[in-house]
Amino acid sequence: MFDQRTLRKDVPVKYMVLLYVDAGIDARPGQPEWQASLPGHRTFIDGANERGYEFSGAALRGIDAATSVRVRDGQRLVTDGPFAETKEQLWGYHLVDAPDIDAVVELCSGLWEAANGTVEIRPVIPMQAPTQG
Amino acid sequence: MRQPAHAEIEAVAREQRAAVLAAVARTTRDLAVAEDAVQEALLAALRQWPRDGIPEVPAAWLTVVAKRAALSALRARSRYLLDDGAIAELVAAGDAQPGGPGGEPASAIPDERLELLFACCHPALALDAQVALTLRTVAGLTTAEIARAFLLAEPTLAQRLVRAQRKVRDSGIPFALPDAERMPERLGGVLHVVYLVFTEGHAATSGAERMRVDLCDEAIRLARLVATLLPDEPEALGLAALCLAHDARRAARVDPAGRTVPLDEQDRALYDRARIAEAERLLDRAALQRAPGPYQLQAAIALQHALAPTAAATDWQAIAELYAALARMAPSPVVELNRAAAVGMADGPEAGLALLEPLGADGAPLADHHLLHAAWAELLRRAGRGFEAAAAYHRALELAPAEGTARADLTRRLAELDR
Repeated sequence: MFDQRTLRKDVPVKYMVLLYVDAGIDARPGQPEWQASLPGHRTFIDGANERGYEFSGAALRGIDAATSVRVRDGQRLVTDGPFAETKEQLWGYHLVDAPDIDAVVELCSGLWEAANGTVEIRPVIPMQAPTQG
Repeated sequence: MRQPAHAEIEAVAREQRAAVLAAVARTTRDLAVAEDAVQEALLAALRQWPRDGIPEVPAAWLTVVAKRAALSALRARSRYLLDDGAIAELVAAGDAQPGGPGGEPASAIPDERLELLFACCHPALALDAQVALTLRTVAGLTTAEIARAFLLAEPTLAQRLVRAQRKVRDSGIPFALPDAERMPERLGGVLHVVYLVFTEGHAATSGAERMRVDLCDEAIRLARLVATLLPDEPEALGLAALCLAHDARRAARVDPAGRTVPLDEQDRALYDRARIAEAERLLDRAALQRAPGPYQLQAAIALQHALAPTAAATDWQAIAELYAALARMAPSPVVELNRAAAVGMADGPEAGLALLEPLGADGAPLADHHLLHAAWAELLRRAGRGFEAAAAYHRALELAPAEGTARADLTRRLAELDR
């Protein structure tokens, strides 16, 4: 006999949706690209709401506002700028619960960032998992 | 109950493997766990069936036993991702009697091999991972067999498979058919993987690698499976027809010494009539849908060659028209090259040369490819321009790869030109 209590329900998977755009784009609210991206995010949020997926997200200030911290040999080094100089910048993210990767891809397909940059989807490791169910 | 032979049990188990794996993987959403569980179920069958007989529905028996094994494996882990339905299913399997007198599960399991195939060919996986995963999971090849077929070190391939299985699990790649809107592009991906397996096998038949698993046979099995499970998808039927029509010429393509025999010199008595007939039936059924596609067109071309009673009786006009349609639908330099050669046969060498001209322009993708210069040489020869033909053969020889039989073939044709 198997006991259902030993099994833990942990679906849907949580996905991080990372929004990358050209580093040259001015990420400030009200700038043309910002405005252009808004309808896509509205569609994303409406889609998630309609399907009953939990979600959260945020837009990030630009690379100019980035600060990096590194500790080496006990010494803390705080520097201006992002983790790495790249041609693309991370300018926002969504966090969404969805049943599978296809559902997330579908939600992301209408994003302005998908058409003008890259949307990277990463599954989130569930951290609050009990060691024994 | 009749005592089944070991070989019979193995045959039944092998036949049911993919369907059982599909059923278990869909529930566990974890291919590695599902594979181990199915392996355990197959071993249980080898132990129990000689004594108890082969169950009425072997797939159902194996699925129950495999799901039970999967549940034990998952329970031993600290975390896993399952929804209520999956849990209920596994628990039910754990409580069910897998078979034996009085406990026989009556109904067959639903065929979920197609769902499994779509998961293995998901675009979130790299193409080489899709190919490896499909051969391992759906075709049931061992890691060693796949590694040998692709001339890779076994650990390399094993790692590729592990990584792919992990991605399927962690990314939540669904074991489900795409919705109607996404079906065309996703099916295209599945067919592409099957076609890659076939072309890899096709390329190998001329080589000396007799040790290799027959990828052509595996591709044909996969293509037939897709065509059977999606009987209304004309391109699925077209791909199966293409593989069969090509493979029908297998025995004639290589002479006893292992050399490649060019199409116009092949012994047509060696063509496999059963495969040709099957390809024809598939293509006829595809044509009913009135939605031609690249695989159907290529199958029709391959069938024209396979059906021609002699090389001279080949209907080059029909082939040229099929290539023209293919060039419109899926343009590529290789298609243009083949089209030029076909037009050269149908309408005379000068017409073919005119089509070849732009392909040889500086910087064109095939400008420095031996096949282009070989086709060029062939048309020049037939146009009676022997001097230019010789120059083109020499250029083709310079560019031809050292391995394979292309050089030998070109040298022979060049020698014939001098006579």
